[in-house]
Amino acid sequence: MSVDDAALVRLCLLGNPDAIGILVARYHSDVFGMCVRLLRHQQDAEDVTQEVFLRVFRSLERWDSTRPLRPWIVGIAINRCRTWLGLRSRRPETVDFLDETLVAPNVNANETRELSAEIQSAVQDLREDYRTVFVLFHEQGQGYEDIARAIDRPVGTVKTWLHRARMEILERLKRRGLVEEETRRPTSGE
Amino acid sequence: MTCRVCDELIVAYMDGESPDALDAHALICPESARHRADTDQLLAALSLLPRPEPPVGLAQRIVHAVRKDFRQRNQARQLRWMAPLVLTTVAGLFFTFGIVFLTPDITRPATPEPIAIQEGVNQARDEVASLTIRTAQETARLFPHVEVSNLVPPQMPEQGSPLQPFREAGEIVSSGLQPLTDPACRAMSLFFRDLPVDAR
Repeated sequence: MSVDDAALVRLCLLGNPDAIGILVARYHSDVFGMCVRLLRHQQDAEDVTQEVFLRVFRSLERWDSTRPLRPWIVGIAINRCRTWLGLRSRRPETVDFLDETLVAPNVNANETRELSAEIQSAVQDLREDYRTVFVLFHEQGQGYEDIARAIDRPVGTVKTWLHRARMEILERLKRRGLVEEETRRPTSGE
Repeated sequence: MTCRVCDELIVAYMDGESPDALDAHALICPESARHRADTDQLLAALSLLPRPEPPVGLAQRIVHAVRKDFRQRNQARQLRWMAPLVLTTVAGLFFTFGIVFLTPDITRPATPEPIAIQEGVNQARDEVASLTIRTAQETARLFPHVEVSNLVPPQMPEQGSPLQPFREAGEIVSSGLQPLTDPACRAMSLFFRDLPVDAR
């Protein structure tokens, strides 16, 4: 039986070990995915994911139970990733193991595999703000309101960033010839 | 995009809404038709975007770390709560012991003097008394015409008492002071001799 987030949090605050396990199992995949996309490094993503959950449980008492839990956790993850990126920028660049960590769907055709790799690379090269919004929307399926809450920005900003992220990716795929430019039709003004 | 309608419809389409409105608009807006096709390609490409999967065992590691942190924070919280209690108890104990042992207790009877000191005081008192009586007797002997009464005979301690050394020391001091006391005695005797008989 699935326990709702508010009840789960209450149990966690009482120190129930099972509840802690359920909450981690419920959200660790989202947090890890977010961390991998933002940090672009497997080991860093694992470390930050663990750190995120430590912070989540330390500040669980401050969570507003009238609001959804997931954006709150994702917001903490985004903040931790930004802090980590700030710290990492002062260190020598770490090797990027991202290609080894991602589990691609069953792809056989070279073209599809190439497209998958290219779109992955395009997402990684997005500006951090755009990438965050893009990943939250397209990978984690969060709505505009939740994303706005998680990154503490207005919904309009979220929509704008998401649109720009999509356009950047699309343009890049077009440049690489991975999507058809022939679909362009001349407009009346062209 | 220059067409605002197209802009909104594309966003709605990518958000999961039905493309009917976009398709209808695309019939009269070539730009929208082009963007519709682009969007379809982008959505198809995004479906190939592999989702990062957490490594096996990560959840267990996180749970372990969280439980450990939970225990440590509980211990720290208990320590924070207990430390003032322990300090207060220790301070209370020190205060109590200080009151009992360091403050002079006026209700307690005075500790009796040690016997040796008491005896010493008594003997010194007897010595002073005997010296006074002896001086008085000598004075009376010097001035026989002065009536001296109520002289208590000296009660000298028996020989071989522990005060013998003190007594000898006193005699030595007396003999040392004799050059001073003898002229004084002579002066007193001359004074009494010259006094008129009536005044004696």
